[in-house]
Amino acid sequence: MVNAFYYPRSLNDALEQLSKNEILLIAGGTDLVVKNSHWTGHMDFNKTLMPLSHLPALRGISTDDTSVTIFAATSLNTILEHQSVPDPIKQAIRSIGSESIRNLGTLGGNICNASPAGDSLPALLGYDAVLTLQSVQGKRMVKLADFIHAPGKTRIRPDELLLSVTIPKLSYDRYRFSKIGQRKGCAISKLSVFGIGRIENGLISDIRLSYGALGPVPLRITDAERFMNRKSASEVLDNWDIIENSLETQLKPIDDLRSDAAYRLEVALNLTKEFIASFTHC
Amino acid sequence: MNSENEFSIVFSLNGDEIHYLGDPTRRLLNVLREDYHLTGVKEGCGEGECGACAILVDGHLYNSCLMMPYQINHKSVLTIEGFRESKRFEIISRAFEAAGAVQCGFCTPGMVMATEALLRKNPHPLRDEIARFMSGNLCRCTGYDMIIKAVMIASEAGDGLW
Repeated sequence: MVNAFYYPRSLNDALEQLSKNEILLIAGGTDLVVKNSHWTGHMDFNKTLMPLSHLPALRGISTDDTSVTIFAATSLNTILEHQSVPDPIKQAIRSIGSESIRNLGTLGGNICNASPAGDSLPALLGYDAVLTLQSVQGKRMVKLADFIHAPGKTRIRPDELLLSVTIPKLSYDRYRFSKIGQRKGCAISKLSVFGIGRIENGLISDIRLSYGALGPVPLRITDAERFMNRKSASEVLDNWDIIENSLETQLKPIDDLRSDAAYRLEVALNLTKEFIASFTHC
Repeated sequence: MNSENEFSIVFSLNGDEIHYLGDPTRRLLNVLREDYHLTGVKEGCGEGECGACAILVDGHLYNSCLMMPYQINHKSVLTIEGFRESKRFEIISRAFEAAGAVQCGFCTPGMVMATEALLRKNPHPLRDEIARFMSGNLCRCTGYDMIIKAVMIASEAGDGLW
């Protein structure tokens, strides 16, 4: 059977369709095609498939003094080539898939796919990314932190699409994105840890810690962040049991085919410690 | 272009202008192999992990097993069959022979297309850059050392071509 398919001519055309019909949106397709393909190569989609990646209104990157806005169907490699996108975000995006996956895959796809292991998500959370959703009724803004609420589940309405992602231009002195996979290249994360922060008079300042594949949704641990701020790295390391306790209560890793909960938690703690230790040399 | 089960696109395939009219939700891999008999485009994993189906679209590397025809509308597609006619292919082919980078050969068309995509971006890549760029192409025979060496040989022998 041939799948229903609608190729929108413009963003307005796409929004119009979304307001009237049950639609499955597809951007790069690196997740959806795999998910909906049989071993024969035949694909089955249970709703009308509507591609978005060709729409100019959904592509590109704009920037002003304080923020960078990435339109949702911009390919991951295009983002890597753009000089205004902050390096910490780029480091996370560079870890996704391979060259050919990053040519197809989009930032909006990585967000709306809402995988616990989506590798752009911890960095975007650390940056307090704000999403702009659009429907025929207009636009609304949602924080990424409020958007993904369960594996594969977001707060997008059926008549909406993700227009763009806005991140502030943070100043920072240290950042690190650590991704642990079965191998370095082209692997899905067993876990990931993102950290970014400033150093003020030798003390940790404005630190953000976020975690991927360590629970049903990517998560920031704000109470650990608050504890660390305005302390020296050595003071934080001396009180490590407090951090350990906070991470152990809030991270909810699972056993699955890629790894197990105990390993995930232990490595997340070690990587966090390593990141904090990087603040000692200042 | 908006009929529900017929979809038409125009694209360049190995230099020829092609009008495709058909199911919009077929994998590009199947379209290339079944409709145009380009069987150098291989299906390995069918999940975008192995790179055996790699093609170039407007000079960039893509996995055709993850794509649908609408994604190549008004674009230029190059498969190993078209690339074979070029001087650069000759250089890469000789380099793969010299390095012993071909054993069973199943990954080779994808490896060659990835080599071309890499050298277009970076004519003189370092070992690590080659390994990183080619991480989406799997080979179960060589252990990769020979392939990495082949890319380095091609980069040197084809100096000025990329």
